[in-house]
Amino acid sequence: MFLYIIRRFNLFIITVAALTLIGFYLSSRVDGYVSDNIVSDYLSYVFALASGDLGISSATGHPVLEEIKAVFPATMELCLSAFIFSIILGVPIGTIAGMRRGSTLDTSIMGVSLLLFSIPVFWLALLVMMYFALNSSWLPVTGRMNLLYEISPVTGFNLIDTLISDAPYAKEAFIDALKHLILPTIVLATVPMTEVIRQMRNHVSEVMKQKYIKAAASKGLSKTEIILRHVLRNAIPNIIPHLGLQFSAVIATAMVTEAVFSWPGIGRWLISSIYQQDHAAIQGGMLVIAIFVIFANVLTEIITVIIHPVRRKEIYAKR
Amino acid sequence: MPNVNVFADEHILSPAEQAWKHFSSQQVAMAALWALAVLCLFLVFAPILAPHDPDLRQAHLLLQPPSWDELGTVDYFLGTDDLGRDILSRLMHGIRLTFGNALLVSFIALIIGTTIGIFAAISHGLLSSVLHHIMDTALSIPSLLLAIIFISVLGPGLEHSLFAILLALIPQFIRGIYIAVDQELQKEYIIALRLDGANHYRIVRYGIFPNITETLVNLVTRAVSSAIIDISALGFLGLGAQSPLPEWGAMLSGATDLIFIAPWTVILPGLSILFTIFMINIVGESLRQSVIVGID
Amino acid sequence: MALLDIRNLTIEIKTPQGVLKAVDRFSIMLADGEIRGLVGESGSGKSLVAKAIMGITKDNWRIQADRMRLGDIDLLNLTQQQRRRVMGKEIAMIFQDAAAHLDPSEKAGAQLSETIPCDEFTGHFWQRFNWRKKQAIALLHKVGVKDHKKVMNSYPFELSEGLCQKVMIAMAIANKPRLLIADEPTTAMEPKTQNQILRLLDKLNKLSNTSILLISHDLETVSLLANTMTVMYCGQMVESGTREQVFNHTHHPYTDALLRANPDFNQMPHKTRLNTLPGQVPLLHHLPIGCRLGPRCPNAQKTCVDTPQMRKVKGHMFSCHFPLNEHELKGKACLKK
Repeated sequence: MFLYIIRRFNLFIITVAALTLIGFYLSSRVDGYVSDNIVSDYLSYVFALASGDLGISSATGHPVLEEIKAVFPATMELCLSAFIFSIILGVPIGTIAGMRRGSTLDTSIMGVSLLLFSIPVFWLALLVMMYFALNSSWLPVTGRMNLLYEISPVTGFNLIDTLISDAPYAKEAFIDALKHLILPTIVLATVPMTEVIRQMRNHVSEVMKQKYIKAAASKGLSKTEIILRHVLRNAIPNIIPHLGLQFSAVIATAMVTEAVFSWPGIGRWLISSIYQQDHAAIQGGMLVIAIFVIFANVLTEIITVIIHPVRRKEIYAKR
Repeated sequence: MPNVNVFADEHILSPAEQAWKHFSSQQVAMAALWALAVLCLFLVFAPILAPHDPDLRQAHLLLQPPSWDELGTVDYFLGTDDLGRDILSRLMHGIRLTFGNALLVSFIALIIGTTIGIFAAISHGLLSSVLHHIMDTALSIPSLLLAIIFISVLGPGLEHSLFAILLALIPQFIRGIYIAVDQELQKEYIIALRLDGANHYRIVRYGIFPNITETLVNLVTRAVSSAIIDISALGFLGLGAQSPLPEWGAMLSGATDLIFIAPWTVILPGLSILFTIFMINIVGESLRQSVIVGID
Repeated sequence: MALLDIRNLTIEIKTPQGVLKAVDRFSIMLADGEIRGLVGESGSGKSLVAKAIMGITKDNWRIQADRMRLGDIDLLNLTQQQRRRVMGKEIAMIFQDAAAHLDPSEKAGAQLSETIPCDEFTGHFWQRFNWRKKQAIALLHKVGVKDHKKVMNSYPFELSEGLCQKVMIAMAIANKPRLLIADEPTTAMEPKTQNQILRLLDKLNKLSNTSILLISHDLETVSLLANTMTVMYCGQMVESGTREQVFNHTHHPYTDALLRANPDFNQMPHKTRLNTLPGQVPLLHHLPIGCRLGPRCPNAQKTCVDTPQMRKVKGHMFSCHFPLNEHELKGKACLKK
């Protein structure tokens, strides 16, 4: 078990190494100079990366790492909240649809979720923004927090920072951060939620066909008991790999959402760097995002193996 | 004399026929298929069918509302944008840019990705395990992200964005096909085929191909819809199609400032994207279920 | 009073091709403490009968019966809640593929402990967990599992088929049911395991007076265990009686064919044909009218187009126009519908 985790991490390191190769190639193309010894160039590049030196942004003049450290937590906050939101809504709806597969309720749930799946995120963001800006003064539409509040960034996550800050207006700042978070979260969570619904529905209906559910019914368990005790335990581990993929997709769509809602995250920063052809920033941003996505995938795999006992057999029975 | 069929033999339909029978019995799926056919019609005949020139700017007709509004006219059925260009014609020409390009890119990615995926799956030994691990970790990056990464290297522009999306879709195909073929290879009927003396080509063509149809349908549906979203997202961000091209995403980005005074400039292109993707998803989902019914 | 009394059970299935009568006027009676065997080929409807008794039916089934009682409980008109209570406490069922009928994500011990009822528990609620565990271990010993630690801590896919079946039997008897329905429990097992399971069922029957309805397609296996037997063909009951009556005084041609189908290698010369009835079991869509064995029966004549009525002689029931061993019936026949 432990060995498996070590193996997986090894793989992760190797993939990151491959990424650095790509990054190095890009930087050499940009900077122009290629010294005689490519290997030493590459090694010095890697050492620089390891020590946190991602170069200086040509647009702002600040070190790239500093900029990324400022914007990355914002994206994380948004992605995590959208991810959690999609799971909280998606799992019950998907289970209900799976339990009554083939009924009108199921067809309508699938129809609506297919429609929501087809909505382009940026368009939805625009519409939501328009509606809330015009009609409701309660929910703010842009930015992350009202500029009047000065919260010192400790973790970078506004929700946590406002809670642990000792400024006099901490409570209001927390509520304000929450209000700013709601709209982008709902917009971002729409598409992943439909995926979660679809996966849960498929897996739940598959589990319902299994013989042990029939055996459980013959033992006299009620439908609710069957769901809670047997169906969920068997269906949820199956969707975890998909959830991992979902998270990566959420990171991708977050970048577009940030652009619309002026959410100060890494997506918006990266896009403006691309406009300005700020190569050091582009490289640094790409590297960080790519590493993070791959890390999330590896983590999902490890979690799947831990939770799902049947999968454990697979890691020992190698082909 | 009437044709009396004395030997009432049951005509067993082939899987393809069964699948088509199931598909065509669903009205929603057939309606979506017709809608897609209409879209393809516009795809091909847009220059002939569009009422106006999409690039023609008429200064006296700025921001005309659509025809159902009291200020709109039927001439400019869906209204005009901030440069006086007819939106309906622009949407029609945009079909080629968004939908047509998506189809093209998906098709190429399908061919390349499937070939590489199959070769990766039937390889043995060290190469196979290396590829297996690459598939697992590196190729699970979402296509929009990859596309943005490639664009950042190549620079903005429609052709660059198409190339970037192509490069981003290929891994999705490779991974999907690889996983599906890998699963099929473990089944016993492949061993039976091999014992029969089939070489690799025969195993793939007669054994594996018919059985990964469902996965293929799934992949193609996802690829086309994600290609549409990627093309329009890149257009929206200004990294793809640049204005004055009537690409739907670019139209949206141009209309962002006008959202309060001329909401139709925002709603209509987005609605077109939504509609196209929705139809594709309906057809794809129904096709997938029909294929399952056909195979069973 | 009979424990299980079913009279004229008919199960109709609604399919796109029409309504098919899968089980046609099936009757069975089980006394307390009796082991009855229900024998028939695959597709004869025996599992359907078991499911109808348990109440695990699909929506497109229609179940009718003149009488379907378990003791004094009328099984036809139960609400969902009452049915669940009956299923949990009075009847238990064990299935063919035992490993597939256990939840693969939970350890066997946990599943077993779940089914133990807490009614008889006296003590504080924090002791409940340990008490359940002890009861589970006791149940495992009762079904013949010696290494209870290993079994309790394993997942179902790690246990052998025989062990899984024993765990299932343990779960079934945890509630001390009055009737145990065994739906082909040993069909896919090796003979040694088969014998173990059958001996276990016998022990349960003798010790706790549990009635067992043993469903199988194997006449030999059933005859080892059962006191009385019922033979089914194509959804109809063709013969029913004590083991001695059915084996030695067979009246129905189908039972005769079943008995002769087991080849006796001592008597048969080499290269003789095996004794089978010609043809195959008819599909539900194309059932013959009248006696369903008609097209295959060696004694069939024109009158077999009418459905034969059930005749009962000294507790031995059969339905055939031209029964075998007719000389034993002369003067003693009385019609029973």
